[in-house]
Amino acid sequence: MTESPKRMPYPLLFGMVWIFLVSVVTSAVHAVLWPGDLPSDFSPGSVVRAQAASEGIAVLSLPDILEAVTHGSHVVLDARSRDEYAQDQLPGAMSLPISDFEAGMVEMAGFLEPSMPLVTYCTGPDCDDALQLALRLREAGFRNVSVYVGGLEEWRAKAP
Amino acid sequence: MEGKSTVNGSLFFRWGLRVALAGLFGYSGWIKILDPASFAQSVAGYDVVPYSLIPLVTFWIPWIELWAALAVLLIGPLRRSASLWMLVLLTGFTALKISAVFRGLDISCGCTGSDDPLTWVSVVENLIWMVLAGLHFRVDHRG
Repeated sequence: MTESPKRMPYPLLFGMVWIFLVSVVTSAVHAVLWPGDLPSDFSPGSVVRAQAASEGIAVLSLPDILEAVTHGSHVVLDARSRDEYAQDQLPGAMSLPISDFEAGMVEMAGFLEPSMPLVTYCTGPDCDDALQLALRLREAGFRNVSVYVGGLEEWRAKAP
Repeated sequence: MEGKSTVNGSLFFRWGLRVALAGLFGYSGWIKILDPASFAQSVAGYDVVPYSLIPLVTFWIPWIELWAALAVLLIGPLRRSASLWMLVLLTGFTALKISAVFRGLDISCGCTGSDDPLTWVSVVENLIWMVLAGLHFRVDHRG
């Protein structure tokens, strides 16, 4: 009776090391030759801020939105669903869900005017409903639309 | 006859696994290679990798995925090593996803380029892929 030879782990690990080394070399070449730049800002909301900048939509910070809420300098619009709005919202905010944009605009037809400063927000820095709403509003003819990227999460955490 | 049919079935099974795994990893790696900036944002969204290491991860992960896919499909001697890499990567990705879901992060997966939000469904998908990669690793030594 002969014992079957044991499989040596070396070829398996050798193969893994080989694949690893090839991937390291090719990724290094890719990193050197890639003509673009990686984003330097990875903080929460950086994606939405970058998209807003590329679309030419102004971004409001917490002090800006505090000013808007306190002095009524902007009409504040909540881009989340009506259920979410009913649970909690920024002071003075009105509900205009991006998911129900047309119906919402019909409801607000007598109130919103194209020259009014508007600011949109959604759940937090990484949701993009607020930006989508801002873009739809701009398409609809509103000329002064901004986004509060921090959203309700930042407001709850940091607003006085 | 029955023996031959079993061999053929086993062969089809192995190649089915190879093609599926290579398709997933090849596609996933390639779309990240094409758009490193978006993948960097996805990596950052998990809030696990230090910012200084994000470029390293951004460029390395897609290439290890792509090479694992090519090896599992085309390079016979490296097939088991490639499927073990897939298993290692899937285990890491799954752990990250579970951690992100538990922390309530509102992020997209960043796995195959879609903007779908990261949920438990995505975790279950990963677990299924882990089972397939494990199966391939187990059966592949038979040739």
